[in-house]
Amino acid sequence: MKAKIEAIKTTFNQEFKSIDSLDKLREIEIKYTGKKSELYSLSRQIGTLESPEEKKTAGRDINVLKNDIISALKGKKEMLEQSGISVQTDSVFDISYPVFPGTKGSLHPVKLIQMELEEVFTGLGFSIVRGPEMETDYYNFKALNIPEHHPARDMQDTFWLENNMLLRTQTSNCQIRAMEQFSPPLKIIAPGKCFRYEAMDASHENTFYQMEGLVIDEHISIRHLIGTMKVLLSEIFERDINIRLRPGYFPFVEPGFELDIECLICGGKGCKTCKQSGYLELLPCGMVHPNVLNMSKIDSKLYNGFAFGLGLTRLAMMKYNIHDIRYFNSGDLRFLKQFR
Amino acid sequence: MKISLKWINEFVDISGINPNDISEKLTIRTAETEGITSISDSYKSITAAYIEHAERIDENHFKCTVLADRKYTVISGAPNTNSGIQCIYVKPGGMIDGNIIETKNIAGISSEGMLLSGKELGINNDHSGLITINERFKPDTDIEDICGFYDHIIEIDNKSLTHRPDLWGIYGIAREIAAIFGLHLKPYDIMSINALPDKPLPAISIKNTDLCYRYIGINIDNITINESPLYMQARLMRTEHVPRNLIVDLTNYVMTEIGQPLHAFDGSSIEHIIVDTVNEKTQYTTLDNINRTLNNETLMIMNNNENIAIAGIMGGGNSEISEKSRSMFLEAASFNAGHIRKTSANLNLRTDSSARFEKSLDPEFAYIGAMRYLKLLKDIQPDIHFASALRDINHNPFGRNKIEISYSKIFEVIGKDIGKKRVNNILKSLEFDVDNSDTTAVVTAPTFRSTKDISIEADIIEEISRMYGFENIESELPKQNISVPHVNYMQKTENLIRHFLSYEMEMNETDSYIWFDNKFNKMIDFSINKHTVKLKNPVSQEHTYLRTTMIPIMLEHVHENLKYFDSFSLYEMGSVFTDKEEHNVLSIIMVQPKRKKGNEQLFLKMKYTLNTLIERLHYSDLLLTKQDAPMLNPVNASSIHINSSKCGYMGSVHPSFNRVLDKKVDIVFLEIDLNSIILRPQHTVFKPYSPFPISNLDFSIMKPSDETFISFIGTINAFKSNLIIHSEMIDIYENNDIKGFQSVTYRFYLGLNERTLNNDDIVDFQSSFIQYINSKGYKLR
Repeated sequence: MKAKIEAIKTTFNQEFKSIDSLDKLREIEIKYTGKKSELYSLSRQIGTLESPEEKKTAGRDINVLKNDIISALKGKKEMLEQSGISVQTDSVFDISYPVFPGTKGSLHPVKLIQMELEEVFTGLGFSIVRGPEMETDYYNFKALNIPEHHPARDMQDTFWLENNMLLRTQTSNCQIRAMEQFSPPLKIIAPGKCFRYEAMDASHENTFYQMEGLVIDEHISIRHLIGTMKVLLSEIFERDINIRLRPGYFPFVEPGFELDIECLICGGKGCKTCKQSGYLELLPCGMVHPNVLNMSKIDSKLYNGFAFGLGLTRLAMMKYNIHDIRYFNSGDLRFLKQFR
Repeated sequence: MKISLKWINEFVDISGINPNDISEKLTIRTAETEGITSISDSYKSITAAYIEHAERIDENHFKCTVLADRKYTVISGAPNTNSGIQCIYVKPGGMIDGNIIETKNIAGISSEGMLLSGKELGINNDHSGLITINERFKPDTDIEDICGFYDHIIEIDNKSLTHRPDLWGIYGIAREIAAIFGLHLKPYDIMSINALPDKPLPAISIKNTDLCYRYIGINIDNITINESPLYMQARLMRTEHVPRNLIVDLTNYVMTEIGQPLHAFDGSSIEHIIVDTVNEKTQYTTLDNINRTLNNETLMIMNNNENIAIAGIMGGGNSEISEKSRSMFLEAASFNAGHIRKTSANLNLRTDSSARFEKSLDPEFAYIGAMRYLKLLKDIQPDIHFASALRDINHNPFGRNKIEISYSKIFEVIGKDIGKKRVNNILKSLEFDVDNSDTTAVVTAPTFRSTKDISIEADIIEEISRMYGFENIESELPKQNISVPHVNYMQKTENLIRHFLSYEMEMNETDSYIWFDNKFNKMIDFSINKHTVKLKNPVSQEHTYLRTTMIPIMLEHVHENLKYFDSFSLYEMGSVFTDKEEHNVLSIIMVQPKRKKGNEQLFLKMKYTLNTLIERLHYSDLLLTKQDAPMLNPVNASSIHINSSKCGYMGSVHPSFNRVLDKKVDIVFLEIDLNSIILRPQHTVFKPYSPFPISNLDFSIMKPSDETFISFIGTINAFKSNLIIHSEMIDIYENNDIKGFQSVTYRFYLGLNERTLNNDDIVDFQSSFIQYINSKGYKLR
């Protein structure tokens, strides 16, 4: 028995030296410590020995050797793992081997902005409303406090249709429909395509996207409008934004404001982009005109609110540095493919 | 609108304020300014000078000795150059309209500086000769001291004045500036009615007092047609009125001051002014010499029966002040804003006058304007005679609007208690009367704010908040109750579709005009149907119809993009229109180079895309049935049905389209109504599965190629067995070795909830299935 133990020890020591990989180590480990190992079968034979003394010695010797083997292998394993020679040569490959892009598809840049903003607004509890592009005079003008022959109609030169409808000049039509449908408090945005009858150039389009917002509740103040716009714009531009309000005239709000943001290029010092004013005109907004609330069957004595209009196309131009608005409706893949 | 700060300074002392501050404060308190110009940036070193001696040196030139601060030799090309005249001179190194004037060689002689025409000086359009001044000035008197030349001009965005009829004149802007900076506004200096002689009234009749609210007229004799004072010319020119003669210039001058258009008629022919509408279509030649067709009901100014002006818009050549005029009739009137706007739009004639009247001018301005005109005229031409008394027919429908508002309401909307005193002071600075109790103010708007501008509480709040300064209102988020936003399923659907098509199917989203391109439609033989909506005012004659389908537009995109790309897929979600309705549709077009069976592959790729898409939106049961559609190949043009309702069409594009392309391609198009696939909630209910193993069994069935899959699948699915947990088609094999057939492999998943299947179960299933398909005429492969 003793000789057998010694023999195992000798062969182990020889084979131990030849271990050069984790695979080999695993092989040796199984050979010497596994259920089919010689050492295991020897330990099973202890019972066949005659004297208790012999049993005791053999048992001890086997255990010592087993522990030696285990600890030697453990040490070797740690060493191998650290030195990294366990890497099999057949698993070496060129990690610079090219993979192909997962998508060649693209999203329209205005829709990308729109989806981003929808996320911001819905996060703040706004609901999204939609409305038709082919609209009646009532929803586009009258319900917004713009009666016939009102000079404000000049500001929004309109495409008229032979079925006596028109192409909406703003998405406020959706707000009116929403006010008719839901009761306050209301927090809604209305993104969509709008149309103005005007000559086209690099910065003027007859077809463009807007996203209008409306908040109606009790006790809404100008202060809330300023606060909300600041938070929203900081979210949109992903930085702190300083804003400035100045009087603006829109028949559906009173007071009405133009909201300027401190120029993103020069930070308010004055540069070419902001025409030295330090500010960029960004969006019209204001406190909802009581006539608009009343026409939509909301009691203007109980409720008031504010509204704002974001030019999505314009934001996309700012964000992606697109210098010509005419790209948006071109359907040109050289343009479209750039936005993901 | 351009305003002159020198002019403003006549009414409010702004001498201590930086012009840029004025411009900026106007922007944030009143109306947007669009820039400020300093005249001294482009004009320098201009003085009075005398031509001591002038001699003609050739046909076009005079050599002059000019006395200013010293003597200069100047070559002049002006025909009125003459010894002894006083003129305006720019010294060498000085500047005219941004150009530096140096000493330069003219007609072989060194000429120092330049003698100026009115046009060169920028105060009128006269370039016929040197500008001469009658009043004597010391040589080298600076132009500033002659006519207050070095001004600042601020341009105000007209759009921001749309609602403020009172701001269409310098005096109104001066009132705002006074209120903004807390300065005193001087009273507007007009002629007193008592200063006018007691003479017979001129004959004036207003026939339509709904359209003409007020008409003031007076006859003036012994007028002189001569130039206006230089300061007046400079101010007019810089506020975009070309000076002509004092009588006409003064109408513009007063209009620029207070916004009230005035009209000076030649006095010799005026007998009886009648203000009335024409009752039939009428031809009339306005003073710009254009013959115009007037609609009936256009309001006219007539002398007896003869039209002499389109009321509030433009006069006619037949009554104009001319060089020969020695008497005049002054008109100051007030007209219905809507009527002026409509008439001006119908005639496509916008004038300074119509632009102001259509804003709802205060009829009081007519009186103030007339009296200001008379005052200025009398000051400049003391020899005039008032040939009649002043006639004032007044049907002013406006009163001063009274609004009762509680201070708490004001503070609530602003979001801040700014103090009652502050509120009252702001309102008073804008000439509102305030009659207040402890809690409430009764605010009476001035007449010039009562014609449409100020009528409700919110208008008062606007006045207070803008003058208080929006920058002084701190920001705060509204406190709101917790509420869950309504989900917009259409928006969600579109966004899901976008993610799927762009990110998974590698397609490119596009966006297009909603009208057809008639030229392209003609090229591809696409004809519109009778429900197509026509635009009344299209952008061009090529874009007269709204799209009823996107196919021609998508084909146009294909046509353009094929110049740069061979293979692509575009999609758009947007509206299509009929005369009654608007539909939100999804259109997809796939293009790839032509190859064998390419059409079929592309069609099936489209079908796969559609099927996956509708599954994502929780629909199933996609069915295509053959149906012709415009621009599609009748071989496979199909209607799309989902849940048995028709909701779109798809198919290969008709081969004839290839005629217009340079490349040979296969194209497949699809259009589907988004309302029919709007995302619906999926109510998933967990089904407990058998704890026992499941056996798979595959069968390859020989399907005759000429049998449609819809019939084949129907037959296979009709086979029932309680062992079938699920079955699916996993392969379709076609090859020459099974010509005339397609080998379709089905996999059945078999099992029971109670126990493991044994061999007998499976053998039984196998034989009954084979028996079944044999009975239907099929064989296994």
